[in-house]
Parts: sequence; structure tokens; C-alpha cells
Amino acid sequence: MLFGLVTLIFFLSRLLPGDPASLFLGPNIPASVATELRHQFGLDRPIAEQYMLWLGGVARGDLGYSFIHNQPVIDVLTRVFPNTLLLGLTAFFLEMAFAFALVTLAIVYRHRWIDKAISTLTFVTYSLPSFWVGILLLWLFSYKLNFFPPSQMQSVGVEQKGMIEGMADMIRHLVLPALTIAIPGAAGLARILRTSVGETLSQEYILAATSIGLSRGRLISGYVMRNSLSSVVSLLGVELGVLLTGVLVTETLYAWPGMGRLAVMAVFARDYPLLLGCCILTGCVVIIGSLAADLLHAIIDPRVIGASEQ
Amino acid sequence: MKNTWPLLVMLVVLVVMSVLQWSSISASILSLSAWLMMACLSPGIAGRAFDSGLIDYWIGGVVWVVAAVWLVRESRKAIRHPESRSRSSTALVESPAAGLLALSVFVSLACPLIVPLDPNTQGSLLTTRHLPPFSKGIVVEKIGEVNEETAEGLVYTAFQRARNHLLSREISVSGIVDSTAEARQPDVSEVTREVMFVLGTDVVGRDVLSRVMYGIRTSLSVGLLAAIGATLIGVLAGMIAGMFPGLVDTLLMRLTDLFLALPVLLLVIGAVAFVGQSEITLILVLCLTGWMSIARMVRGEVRVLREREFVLAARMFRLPMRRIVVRHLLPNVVPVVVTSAVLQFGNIVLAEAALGFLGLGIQPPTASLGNMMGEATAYMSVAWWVGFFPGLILAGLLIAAHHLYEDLPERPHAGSPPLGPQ
Repeated sequence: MLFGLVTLIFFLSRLLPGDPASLFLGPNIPASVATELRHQFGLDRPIAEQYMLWLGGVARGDLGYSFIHNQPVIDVLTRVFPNTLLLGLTAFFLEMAFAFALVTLAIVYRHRWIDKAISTLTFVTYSLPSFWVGILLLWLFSYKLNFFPPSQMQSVGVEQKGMIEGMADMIRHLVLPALTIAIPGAAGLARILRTSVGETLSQEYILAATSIGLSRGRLISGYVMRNSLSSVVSLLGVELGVLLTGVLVTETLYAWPGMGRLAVMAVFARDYPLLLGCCILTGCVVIIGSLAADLLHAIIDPRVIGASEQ
Repeated sequence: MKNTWPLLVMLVVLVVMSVLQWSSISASILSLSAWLMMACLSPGIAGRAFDSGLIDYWIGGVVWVVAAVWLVRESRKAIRHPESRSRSSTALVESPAAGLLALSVFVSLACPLIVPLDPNTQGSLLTTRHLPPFSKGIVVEKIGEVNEETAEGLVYTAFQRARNHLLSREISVSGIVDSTAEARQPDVSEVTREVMFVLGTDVVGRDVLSRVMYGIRTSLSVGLLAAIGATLIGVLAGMIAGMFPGLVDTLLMRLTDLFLALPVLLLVIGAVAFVGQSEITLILVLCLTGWMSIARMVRGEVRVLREREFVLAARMFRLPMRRIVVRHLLPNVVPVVVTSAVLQFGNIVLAEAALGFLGLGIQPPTASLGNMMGEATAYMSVAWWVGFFPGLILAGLLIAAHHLYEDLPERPHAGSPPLGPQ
């Protein structure tokens, strides 16, 4: 799968018209320089050889050389990826927390107006574009109320202060971007979870558990939620991809120094090795993530293993 | 269950718009009919008088008439026979989501007639920049001369007059009402009129409402074309995969998985960066990144269908493959395809807007909902309305698309609503 992804990215990048060398150099450079550059980057060799070279490079972790950062791509990516991971994970946990809170509220008051209100709310929020949510949050909390800083990851000069203050500062910077990703995501998750909770509730073992006389809290946390989780977990792989694309827009909006912003900057600067590197890294994360989601699914819901063996 | 309020809303919107924009609507209808008359009487003059800038207005005028006739007919039917209604229009009238989408299609087709100002006319930077919603301004328009003495006659004069009205050039837009009116000594060929910037103006003094309307046009046209393209690719791939189990199927589905593993937006960004940022490449790229879910759906459907008795019977009769596919499989796949195409349309509109937001989609000065928001982010602290309204409309479009998706009966029961690229 990973191999296929790398191959696909390579051939897509070669299929598309446009010569990296001439684009990089601009129109006013003599053709001989371009030829030399092409030779230097190995762009004049046959495509199969280029492919093998590239494949070997990728296997060794060598993704090429970034023009704008003047460093190997892999170094740039490893420097920037933790920031994206921090943002992504925070957003992810916020998303889960929101979704579970909403759905618990909805099923505790099910078939009443709260349930209906939550379902309408999640439907509307799910359809909101994340960047719109982002600029509204920015406007409200940053410009009007002045609660959170509008951009960057750290305040200027925070390095001189202590560790604790540095952390607090980073968290303050983290809130808005994480919320921007989490709000539409949480709504989507809550909708899926609500549907599957609805299905779980009609199962016979829930009826049995109720008749034993379990308390409502035990029932919901121990029986309903646990059994409904599997539908959410099976979607985590997809969710991860969505998260990473959300990161792209959000990081640009809040000038968060992560991979999404890097990719957008790479496009504007025509830095192809960097862009390809971003694509590969993101693709790998998604593939590994969906693999992990499948494994987790099997752990949470043993029925999956039985079903796949049949 | 009868639901007449979307119809009422549409009717009210149409009436209000007709009253507000009566002059340009009548001018466009008049110019079209005058031109058609000329084309019948003397094609030579008509050919010389033709102006490609008018086509936009003519389409708008025709759409206007069609919409008005349709709405009036529907409301008469709704009043006279509250119980019976023709099937095709019922969906549009009764589902608010479909109504909203129909309204936005109408706006996007008729936007040259509806917009209060040209979307790309910049105002004077001193007085028109970042005006809040509902502020007033003044526009001076230059209108071409009409030579009354021409021998061409009445129809030609009427045509010219209507054309000049439609294609009049706005030569200055100003946010201050009094001083401009006093300062400018109106020429014979210049007309001064007062406008209201209902949704305010942006950083270079363009009218946000007009730009939003043209933005809807961009979003819808890109979204529709790309969704149609993606659906065609998806149906083709799904059909082939479903009809040829084995190697072909495995290969195609692997490819689909690979495309699904790529983050769509990143792929689109990469492709746009390589190919360039024209409208056509944008549509092509969105097609190429949007077909996977449809292909999967069609493949699943075909795999079930090809084992059904009627297909087996057709194969037993040794009907050609083409006939089986066209007559037996395609009609049965259509409902699923339509449903997932609606969802895909929403996703594509969102992806287009996200690209515009990042500055990689439709390039300014052409207005798109996404690039308006992208341009507005830098000025959010001083002018919230520039970014707020395009987003509101975009959210409305997406909600309508998702709602329509939920309303459609043939929803693929894969378990959950597929997640779009946020």
C-alpha cells in the first residue's frame, strides 16, 4: 500500500506538464543552465531509471532537496511535523470530547427537545466550512474579546521566560486553531455516533441490562457507548485524512508553523520536492492511521475478527 | 404533507428582486426581443449590432421569465388544487434544501441582472473602502449615446437604448452621497444614481453583495461541472470493476484506495501548482480527485446486480455486453449515483472554496466565495462583513446539499455519512 502510494505520487508528478527546472529558474536564465540543472537533478535520465532512483531515495528517507529552505526535505519535515502532530492530536481529542458529550446529552434526554436540538445543531455545524468557523473565531475571540492571540505558535520573546510560561503561552496559541478543526469535525463524529447509539439502544442486550436494574449511568457508559464505539473507530482512518486536510487550511489561517502551511508555501514557491515530501508523509500517516484504526476496531469489537474469517 | 412556504419564499424573493431591478430586467428582455425581431427582419443589421457582452444578460432575462412563469403556475396550482401537484416540481417546492439550491442556481444564472453594481468596479479608495453593511453610496454611470436619427427605425433604437442601459460603464463609485453629487457636473451621457451597499464594501471598495452573487455563480459552475465529471469517471470505473471481477477489479480498487489515501486537498494543491491555476484545470483536478467514492458505490451495486435473475437471464440470451450494461445495469445504478453525486457536489464546492481561501483556486479579480474569504482574513479586525457573508452563503449551500442528500430515498446504507474534506 505504501509502495503503491509512493509510485502513484511519482507518476502523477511526472505526468503533469511543467518542467521543475525551468519553473525554478524562471524565464530569464539561459537554456544551458537549465540543462545543467536538469542533469544535476537527474531529470534528463530515462523515466524508469528516475523512478528507481527516486524509490531508492524514498526508502532511505531521502526525499530530495528543498529549494526554499535550502535543506534536505526530510529535515524540514521532521522539524515541522511535531507541530502539526500537536495541533492534530489536540483537535482530535477536543473533537472526541465534544462528540461524546453531545451524544451522551442527546441519549440521556432522548426523544425530547434537547435531542432534537442537538441533532439539528450537529447537522448544521457539520456542514460549516472549517475556514469560515476559523475566521469567525478569529474575529470574535481574538479581535473583539482579545482572549487568544491571532497567529503564530509562540509570542515574541517567550523563550526567555520559564518553561511553564512557555507552555501556557503555547496552549493559548493552540486553542483557536484546535477549535477551528474540532468544531465541524466533532459535529460529524457526533452524527455518526448518534446513529450507531440509536441502533445499539434497540438491541436486546440493552433491554436485558435495563431489566437487571443497572443505573442509567452504568448502562450508558458501560453498555451503550462501548458497543457504539466500533462504528466510530472504524471511521478513524478516514477521520485522520479529514483532520490533516483541515490542518492545511487552519495552519495557513493561524500561521501555525506546521506541515499544512509548509505545503501551501511550497506551492507558492514552486518547491516541488518539498510538496512531494508533504504528500508522501501525509499519505503515509493516513495509511498507517487507518491500519491502526482497523487493529483498534478488532480490539474493541471482537465481532469484527469473526466476521472477517467467515 | 404539504409544505408551501418554500414556494412562498421564492415568490416573495422574485417579486422583491423584480421591483428592485426592474430597469435592467426589462432592458434585457427588451433588447433580446428587439434583437430577435431584427434578426428576422434584417440579419445584417442584427449581426452588426450584436454584442457578446449581452449574452449574459439575455440568459438572465430568459431565466427570469421562465422562473416567473413557473412560480406563478406552481402557486396557482397550490392554491386551486392543494392536494394534487405534478411530480417533477413537487420535490423542488416541498424540500427547502432543493428550493434553496434552485434559488442559488437562479441567482447564479441571472446574476448580471440582479447585482446592484458591477462586481469588479472598484470605488474610490478614500470613501468607499470597507463601508459597513447598509451604507449608501453614489454611482456615476456613463451611458453610450443613442443616435435617434438612424434610418434603422424604431426597433433598432429600442435595441440600442436597452443595450446602452445594460452595458453602461460605471465610471465612479463613491461612498459619500452629497459631495460627489455636487462636485460632478453630470454630463449628458452620465447618469448618477444612489445605491445601497447592502452587505458593505471590501478593501478596494467593491460591493460585497454583487461579489457574493458572482461568487455563487463561480462555486456552482465549478461544483456542478466537476461533480458531473467525477460522476462519469466514477460510474465508468465502478462499472468496469464490477463487470470484470478478478484482476481488473483488484487493480482498479487498489487504485481507488490509493486515491482515497491521498488527502484530496493536498493532491488538488499539488496538481494546481504543477498545471497552473486556470478554471479548467481546477475543474479537471477536482474531477480526478472526486470520483473514488462514486466508483466504490457503483462497483458494490453492480456486483450485487450482476447476480440478479434478470441480468442472468439477459446473459443467458447472449445479449451483447453493451446492451446488458446500458439497459439492465445502468438504470438500476442511477439512484445510488444521483445520491452520491449530490454528496460529492457538496464536497467539491467545499474543496473549491478551500482552495480559493488558500489563494490557489479561482484567481482574483473573479469573485469566488473562497477567494473572497481568503482576501478578507487579513482585514477581519476592521471589516468582518467581507468574510462573513460569503461564508454564510457557502455554509447555506453546503447545508442544502447535505440536507438534499439525506432527503433522497436511495441513500447508500454503508452505515454512516461519508466525511467530506473539511
